[in-house]
Amino acid sequence: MTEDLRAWFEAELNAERPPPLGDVVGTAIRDGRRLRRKRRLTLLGSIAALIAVLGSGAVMLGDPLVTQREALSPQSVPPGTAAPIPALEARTLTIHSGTAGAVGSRTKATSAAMLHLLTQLLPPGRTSHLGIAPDDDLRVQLYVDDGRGSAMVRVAVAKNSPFGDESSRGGMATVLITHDPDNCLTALTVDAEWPDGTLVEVDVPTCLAGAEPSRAALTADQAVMLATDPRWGVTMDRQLVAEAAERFDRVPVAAE
Amino acid sequence: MTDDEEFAEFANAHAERLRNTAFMLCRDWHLAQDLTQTALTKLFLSWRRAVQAENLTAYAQKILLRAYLDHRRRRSSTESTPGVLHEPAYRENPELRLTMLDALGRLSARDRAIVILRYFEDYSVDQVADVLELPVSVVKSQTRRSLTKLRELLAADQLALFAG
Repeated sequence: MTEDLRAWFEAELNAERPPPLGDVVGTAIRDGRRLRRKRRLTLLGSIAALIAVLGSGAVMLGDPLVTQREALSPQSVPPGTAAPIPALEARTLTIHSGTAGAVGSRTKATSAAMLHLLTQLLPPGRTSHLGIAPDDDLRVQLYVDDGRGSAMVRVAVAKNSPFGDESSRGGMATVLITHDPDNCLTALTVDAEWPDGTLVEVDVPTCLAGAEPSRAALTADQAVMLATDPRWGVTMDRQLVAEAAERFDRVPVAAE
Repeated sequence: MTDDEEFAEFANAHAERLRNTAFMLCRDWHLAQDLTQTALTKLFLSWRRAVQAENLTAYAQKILLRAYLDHRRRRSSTESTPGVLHEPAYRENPELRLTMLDALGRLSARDRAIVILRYFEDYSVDQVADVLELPVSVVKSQTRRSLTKLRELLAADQLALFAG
């Protein structure tokens, strides 16, 4: 009976006209990398927040807690603070950048260069609270106030291994737009990934770094335009990097 | 070969089959595509653990089944039943008889999954129980009930296949 039933199933499936399978594998890898990165950043943020809480507690309570803080290891962070695979609303689209990549000679990107480019790409407004990542990660954040109050934007750049044999940037970015109503810091996230593995992540929070509610600095369309600018990368235009070094010679480390 | 490359090789080889299974479960190619996508993304995230599984294909199927059942739980009130036919009509008119996939659609999500795993994926009762995290006794009893219901739903000339 099993054979007969399986043949029956197969026959009915063969009579179907399924749509093309599409790039489910490539999309799974891209989404998986993005989620993996987000989990890592969330965990880092949780550790930083925990250390900050313990640190402030040490100030209030005195030396005994300082000893406790020194004993803190990453393993002591409760497992629940790691982000689970989130049930997010997300959609993927493909954006043609209109150019095969940024022209001109490139050099290793810096956080200053990212801030410099970010301020060029944002809508007009007064910027403040500029910050960079505490480690070598290419992550920056700032507040922008267009007259309606401050709002935060965060941008991160990373390089994954390329898809297939793609070693050049290519002219087509895959963009993932994610809405996460449960987390104000990642209320809107736009990830643009290029065929060479370059990943640009733009977070548009609906709160400030201290979790005070705020407006969103960008619409989804504006965030997509920002994320798909071909000048982002782990290498950036040499002149832009040089200008940024003069403009932002000292930028504070941002709180996670 | 890197982890990502290993994953891509496995996923490319199994994506079509996973989507077919998903389609049999939900009878909607677009949803089947989404479920396959979700399952592959979760498999990617757990790849290092997955490759240690005794049967990687079954591991992937399990993730897909979980994605489907989760989807059903979230959307249970919104799913329509396409092609609903009244029994006398399809009994009298061969043009209207139910296909096997239609008949499967009349089963509950869990029972549909049991039948598909048992008779499409050729899993043993124990394997089905493991994938769906059900007692073996439940798998056996629900299989019997599901086959009885399928017999009732399918036209007489189709029932010969159940004779064995």
